[in-house]
Amino acid sequence: MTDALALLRPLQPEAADALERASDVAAATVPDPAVFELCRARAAALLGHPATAVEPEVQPDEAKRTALPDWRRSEVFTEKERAHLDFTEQSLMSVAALTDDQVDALLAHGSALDVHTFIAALYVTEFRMRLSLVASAVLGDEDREEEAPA
Amino acid sequence: MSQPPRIPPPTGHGPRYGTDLDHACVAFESAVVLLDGVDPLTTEIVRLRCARYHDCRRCRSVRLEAALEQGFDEELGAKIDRWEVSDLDERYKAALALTDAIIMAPGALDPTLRQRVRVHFTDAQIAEICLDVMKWSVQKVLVALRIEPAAADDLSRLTFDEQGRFRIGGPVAAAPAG
Repeated sequence: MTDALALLRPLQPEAADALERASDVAAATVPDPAVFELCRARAAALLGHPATAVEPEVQPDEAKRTALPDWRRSEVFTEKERAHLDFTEQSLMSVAALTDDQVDALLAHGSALDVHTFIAALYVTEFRMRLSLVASAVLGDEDREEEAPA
Repeated sequence: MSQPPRIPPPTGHGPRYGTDLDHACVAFESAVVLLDGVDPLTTEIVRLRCARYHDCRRCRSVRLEAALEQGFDEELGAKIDRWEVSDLDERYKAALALTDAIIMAPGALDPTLRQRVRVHFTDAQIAEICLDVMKWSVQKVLVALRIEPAAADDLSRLTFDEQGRFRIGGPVAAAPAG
């Protein structure tokens, strides 16, 4: 799989540059980078996106990385992490089915602006992964076997 | 059904809440809507698919004026929800197959998708449709917080200015009978 930017930039350079800037701003301004990294990793697993290297300071500890696929039944996650993971999973499946309680659970741990920024960062990150997966299949070189770094 | 906002709606000059990320997202959205390699009818069909899938009340309440000028009407729009079994042109079906792949199951792609879209679209057009789907799907941020009220009770016209900023205009004229 090839990252979306590598595939889209030759074809639509200005939009790809704008997507890269949005991705950079999302990473730089998300309120709780460690929580966000858990959600990013969970989103990647649900979407079928391969794992990518992350900054060491936001890398979840080994116990959380191991427990993430079954986080609902694990005791290693905080209430804040659980609220954000629950939101992430529902948002990925169907944003229309999100409940007031799921948003309230985020608001219990951050301001309205924090919650808005988390959701916007999730959108940018989620869709970059979605585009990477699909663009690799429809635009990527079918004959290329090795993966470019994401 | 009316659903109140889950956080106070934005009230400032914008865009949205005026955060750095809001500015960056809107810059991305503007760059995408200014792309013009895909015809407005295909663009509108893709936009409405996203709007209905994400249940964006605002996006469902508007129609792209450029598409209306090319003949988009509600009879065509009604075919989007069950596009696979509709009599929509194969070009539109290919665009919708690409749309659904992105928003529904990007990790479980139909192996025929590549061929299907490349029959009807160039690589640049495929890239534009992919970016369009992401741009329209910014609705998810608004829908999650329910800060996307419908533009009006009736369908309204949607346009974009030369900077890619959206404008919601007057009502869409009713389709002629017959």
